[in-house]
Parts: sequence; C-alpha cells; structure tokens
Amino acid sequence: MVFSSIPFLYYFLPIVLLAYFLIPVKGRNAVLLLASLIFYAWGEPVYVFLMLVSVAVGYLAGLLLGKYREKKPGGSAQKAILTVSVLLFLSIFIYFKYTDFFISNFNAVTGLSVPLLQIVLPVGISFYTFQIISYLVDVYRGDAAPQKNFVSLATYITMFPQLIAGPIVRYTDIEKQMKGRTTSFAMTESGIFRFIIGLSKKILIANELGALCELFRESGEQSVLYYWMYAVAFALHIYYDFSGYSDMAIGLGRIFGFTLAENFNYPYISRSVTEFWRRWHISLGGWFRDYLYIPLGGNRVPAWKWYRNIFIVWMVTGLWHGASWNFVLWGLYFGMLLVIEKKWLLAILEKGKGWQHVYVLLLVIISFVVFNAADMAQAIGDIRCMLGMGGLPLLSSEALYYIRSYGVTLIVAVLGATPIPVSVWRTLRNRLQNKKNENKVSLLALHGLKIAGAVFLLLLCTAYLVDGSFNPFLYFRF
Amino acid sequence: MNKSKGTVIAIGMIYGMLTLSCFLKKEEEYSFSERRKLAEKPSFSAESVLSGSYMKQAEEYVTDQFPGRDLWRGLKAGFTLNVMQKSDTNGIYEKDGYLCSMEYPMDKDSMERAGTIFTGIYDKYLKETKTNVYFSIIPDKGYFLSGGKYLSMDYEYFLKEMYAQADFAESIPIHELLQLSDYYRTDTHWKQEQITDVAEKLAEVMGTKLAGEYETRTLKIPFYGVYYGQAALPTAPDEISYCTNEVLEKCKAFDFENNREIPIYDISKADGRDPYEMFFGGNISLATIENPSANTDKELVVFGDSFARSLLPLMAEGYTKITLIDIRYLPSAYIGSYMTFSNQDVLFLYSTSVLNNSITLK
Repeated sequence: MVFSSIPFLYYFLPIVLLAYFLIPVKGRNAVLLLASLIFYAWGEPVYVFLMLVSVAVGYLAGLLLGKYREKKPGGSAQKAILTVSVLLFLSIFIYFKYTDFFISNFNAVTGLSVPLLQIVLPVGISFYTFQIISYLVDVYRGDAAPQKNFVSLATYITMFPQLIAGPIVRYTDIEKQMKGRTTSFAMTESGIFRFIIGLSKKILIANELGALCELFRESGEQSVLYYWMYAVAFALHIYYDFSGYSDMAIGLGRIFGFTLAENFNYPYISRSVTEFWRRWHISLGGWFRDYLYIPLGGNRVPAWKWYRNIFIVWMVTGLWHGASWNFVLWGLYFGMLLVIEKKWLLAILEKGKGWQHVYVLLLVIISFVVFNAADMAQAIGDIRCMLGMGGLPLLSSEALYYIRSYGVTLIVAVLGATPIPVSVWRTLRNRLQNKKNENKVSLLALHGLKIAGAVFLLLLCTAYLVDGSFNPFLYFRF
Repeated sequence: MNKSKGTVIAIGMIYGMLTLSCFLKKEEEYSFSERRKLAEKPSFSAESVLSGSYMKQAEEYVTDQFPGRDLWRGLKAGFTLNVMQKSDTNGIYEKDGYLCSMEYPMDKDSMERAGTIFTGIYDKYLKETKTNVYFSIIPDKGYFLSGGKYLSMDYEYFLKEMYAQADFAESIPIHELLQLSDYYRTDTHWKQEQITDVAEKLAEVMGTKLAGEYETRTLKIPFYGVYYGQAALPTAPDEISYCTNEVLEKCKAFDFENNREIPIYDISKADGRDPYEMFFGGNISLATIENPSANTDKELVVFGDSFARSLLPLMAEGYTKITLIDIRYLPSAYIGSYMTFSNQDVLFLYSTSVLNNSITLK
C-alpha cells in the first residue's frame, strides 16, 4: 500500500487512527504493529512472513547479545552472535537483491547462460534489514539495551510510516519513544501539516515530473534540449518523490507521537557535493558512516586506507540503490567527487560566490541521469546526448511543447526545493508576531490561511488520485 | 480552545466527512462521463489475497467508487490547466471552445499497417472484380486546431502518404470541404447536418447525384462527447441532430451481427452511454441500408469507422443498397463469408485517428 492512494488515505489511515487513539496507551504499540503488518501484507502478502521471521531472529539475537554483553562486553560469544546474525540478514538481503545481478555478470564473464532466478525483491527489505542490523550493532556496542518486549521491537522495525521507504530510523533514537510517548494537539497539528505537504510534494509535483520523464523516454523526437529537460525534471522528481515520502513518514510519526529524524534538508542549495550528501537521504548517509565507514577506520588511518574506505562506502551505497552497474558507477562517481573535494576543492568552494551551486547542480543532475538509466549503455548514451554528441538537433517541437506545458510545475518545483517559500512564510508570521505591533486578527487570518491551504491541498491530492494519475514510488524498488 | 486543537478538529472533521462518505456511498456500475464500467467489488479468497490480485482490484474499486468522482476529476483538470498552466489534460486540450485530442506523434508503422490491410482486402476481394475502388480520409479536429501551442502531426504529409499507401484506389480528398464547426465541440466526430456537402462530393466522384435535401431534427438531449469525459472539464454539452427526408424514412437498415432490422437513427441510443451510436446501428461490424425508392441499381460497400455511420444515411438516396463493413469488429479475413464483390462502388473511409492508431483494424 502506498500513502498516496485512496485505500490508504480514506480507509486504512482513518481506521488505524481511530483504533490508535481509542485504545488505552498501553495497547498502542500493538495497534501500530498490527496496522503495520496489514499495511505491509497489502503489498507483500507472502513476504510479510519473511519480515516477521527477520524480526523474530533480530529479537532473539538482540536478547543473546544483551545476555553475553552482561557477562563479557565484546567477548567472543557476543562477537560470534553478532557476526552470525548480521551475516544471516545480509545473506537474505543479498539473495533477494543481488542474486540475478551476480548470475548475469557470471554469464557475461564466462559466456555461460545460467538462467536468472527472477527473484522478486520484497518491498522495503533494504530499509528494515538495515534497521535490524543497526539495532543489533547498537546492542553489541552497548549503545542500546536489548528490547525484551517483542511487540516493541517488532513495532520499531515494521512501523508502517517508515517501513518501506525510510527514513532509516535508529533504534537508539526511538528506544525511549517505544516505551512511552506523549501525543499532543500541537504535535498532531504539525504532523498533519507535514503529512499533507509530503503528500502534495509526491502527488502534485513528483508524479507530474515523473510523467514528464516517461513522456521523454517514449518520445521519438528527442533533442539536446529535451535531454536536459529530462535530466532536470528527473533530478527534481526523485527529490520530491523521496523527500515527499519522508515528509509523510515524519508527519505520520508525529501524529502517532514519534519524532523521526529528518531525512532531507534542501540538498539542491548545497555548495559542495560533500554538503549535498549531508542534506540528501541523511538517514542512509548516517547509517553507512556509523556502521561501515567508521568500523573500516574512517579517516583516522593512512591516506590510502582512507581513500579505500571512501570508495568501499560509496560503492556499497550505489549497490544499495540497485543491483546494476550504473548504480555502482553512480556511487563511485560520488566517492571520487568527495575525495577530490576533500583533497583540493572544499577550500575553494567555500570561498565561491554563487558558482558552486551551478557546480553542484550540474554534477548532481548528471549523476541522476546515470542513476535512472536502465543500464550502462543507456547512461552513457544519455550523457552523450546531453553533451550534444548524439547527433540530435538542439531543439524539437516536442521539447518546446513540454517545457511550456510543464513550465509552472518546473518553476514551482525549483522554488520548493529551496528554503524560499518557508522563509517567506516565517518572515510574514514573524512580522505579525512582532511584540510591539502584534496584530492578533492578522495572525489568526494567517493561521486560517494555513488551515485552508492544507485542506485545499488534501482535496487537490484526492482529486489527482481519483483521476488515477501516474503514481509509482521510486524508492520502493530499493 | 487552543489553536492546535482547533486546527486538528477542523481538518479532522473535513477528513472524517470524506472518509465517512467513502464508506456510505452506494456502488455505481458505470461512469457515463468516462464511458466505462467502474471496477466491481473484488471477491475475497485466500488465493486472491496471496497472489495480491485482491488488493490490486480493491484499490481500483475504491478509487473508481470514490464519491463525487466527476467533481474530483473536474477539480484536477481545472487546476492542471488553469493554475499549473499545463497545455493539455489527459492528452486533451481546449481551443476555441473545442475539446481536441492531440493526435501526435504520427505513427508511420500504423499508417503502413493500415495500408497493408487495405491492400490485402483489395488483393483478396476486389482486384479480380469490376468494382470501382475509392479512398477518402476524414481529418480529426487537430487538423483545424493544430499549430502554434499544441503538438500535432504534419497532416498534409499524413494525407499524402496515406493516399499513396492505397494507390489501388482513387482518392477523394474531402478535407478541403470541412471546417472546425463541422465537428462537435466535445466529441471526436463530425455533425451529420454539416456534412451533406461531403456526401455530395463523394457521390459525385463515384458517379452518383444526390439531391441533398433534408429536414434537420435536433434532439432535446444534451450530448456529452467522448472528450468531455476524458478531459473532465466543465464544458457545455453539444446538441445532437440528424437529417431525414422521405427517401430515408422508407429505407430499411439491417444489422447482420445481431441478425435484426434496425432503425437508421435509433433515438433511444441518443440517451445512452454513447449518443453517437444512434447513427446506423452504432458499433456493429456489418450493416446495410436498402433504399426501395432508388432510381438506380448501384450498390456501395464502405469499409469505414464510426464517422461513416453518420455519413452513409446521407448517401442512401444514390444507391439501392449500402453496406458498411467495420473491420475493427469484423476481421478482414472473414469478409468473404458475408460479402460477394462484383461491380459495386467500394469506398474506404477512415478518420486520421483510426489510421494513426490502426492496431484496432483487423
């Protein structure tokens, strides 16, 4: 089930909300767990059992890790349990996600034709596997106590707001909230607004830009301009798709009384690629930093090892996004850029007067062209065409038509990817809140406007859904 | 009451009402504006749940059955065109008060396919006979509305190429006789009362003269054409009219698909799912009009689409019998079982929309 669907918005969610708030506080985790299992089973009726087994194994491994930690922290028993359990989870993950990738590469190298297994990737496995591993590592390290309540641990891992597309929630961030959390009207209000903003980002912008990208791919009249329009549209599409989902997850979390960590912070205003990755998919970057980069030695090692660590982390980051060489190239591309920046460019970029934004945007846009390609050949072909090396005309009537037709959407998307709208809103509110000149009526009107805006957006999103618009979630495939 | 509580209650009430209306709404079977059957409630079984088909069907069901479906679709279309300034909605644009589908891009494979099918019919059934074969193409509204802002194919090239594909037939260009006002504003088709000159031109080239005097009767039923539903824009309906005279009133029409006599104009269908089906039987594969008062023994066989259905009654006067074969419903390979070709006039009459999407031709 996806958030941006009629069944979720007008059937599943209201029933869950009603049950959640009517039931005594003690039973709320159980309600969330049940709801999450139904939510997941709706899309993955068979793999829900795989997820439940993963949770059970994670629960038992956590208990064992805790038990042996009490006896001897970091002892061989604890190490063995962690190694076995992490390897088990990684094996399941690798089996589902990479088996066919390995087979096709094996075939390519050996010239054999071992048949592909055509394994269907369970939705959200990349997210919940990482959550379980982070929990086990945290218990091993002593950063978290093992969760003795199965329902609480299962609720943490399967919690539907973030189950299938993140953000990747750390157990340490949510441990206390699992035991007890308070809900308030202020938190619910902010959750509602955040959810509606995320829903609007997804439906009104991401889906529209996604449709534009599809039109480009189906077109028989391509041009250099059309390629650039596609590249820009896709970079915005993936941002709105993924950040919209994260907004919805964070908003739902707040409604249920959780504070989930932010996952995006206006990445397209970055002045370096290094900064971009501090603002883009923050929870994934943090996960790789804490559970892979630092265990490898981080930057406190000889230079060659440091570079090795960076490239390992970015190759794995690429592979995490998909079992294909273009994802590996995409990860290594960022690894290389980060090394170049750390070694030479960061100091220059910090002194730049605006051009660094162009530098970042250009590199990121090109990276997403590689990211979205079906394979390496298409990735190279797309970039060649963007650079005018594809023998295509500069302009085409189709490109001009769609630029005109999607012009407002693109402008809104570009503006919305910057802090400008939020800062305008805050400035307006702050002026009205100025103590010397407080204008209660205007403040009330402003608040009314906010409510009306939220309701209008909800109705508009409903209208788009009823009309059956283009509506896939990009990050479901990861 | 604090501000946050007020906000939660206000939004919660609106959300609650929408939710409640979903649960209370009565199931509908058909969407008249979209001209399609709405999804039915899926049957629940362990097998359908495990395969995921139950969930997929349930999602379609609740989306299709959402209360006030047309209103929501209108809101989306209005917002898309007026606020987001998109040039089209679901591939339909509005220009000069007319709704039009973007016939783009030109599909050369489709044109070739249509040409191959027509040539196959000629070679199999007509080549060795004394039939006189003609070909005429009806431009869609895009021919008149295209240019400037909207994407459109190169119609002149399309017509030239398509006529060349059927070089066994004498071409009868009719696009010069047509103008935008000859078409319904909300539908793809032409208006019968506006195309008497087209009928006369076709008859003239085929060696027949039509008096072309008709009484035009306008129905008091609003006609919401196919683009109305697709665009979901708040557009005023068209009027639907038909032409009749003494000769036509004596004519008999027969539907060979269902083996029954049919009225040339079935007024009851004008109030149905597709009002345009009132013309000459609607979407049936094989039908005839016989004219007992004809002063000639000439017969006409037309391979055509829905445009032909409103045109052919206007040509009945010039022929003793007109046969319409719609190869979208009757595969061309089987025509020989129903038709014998000898010395008839044979007209291939297709719209650019069908020729550019000829996958429907069999």
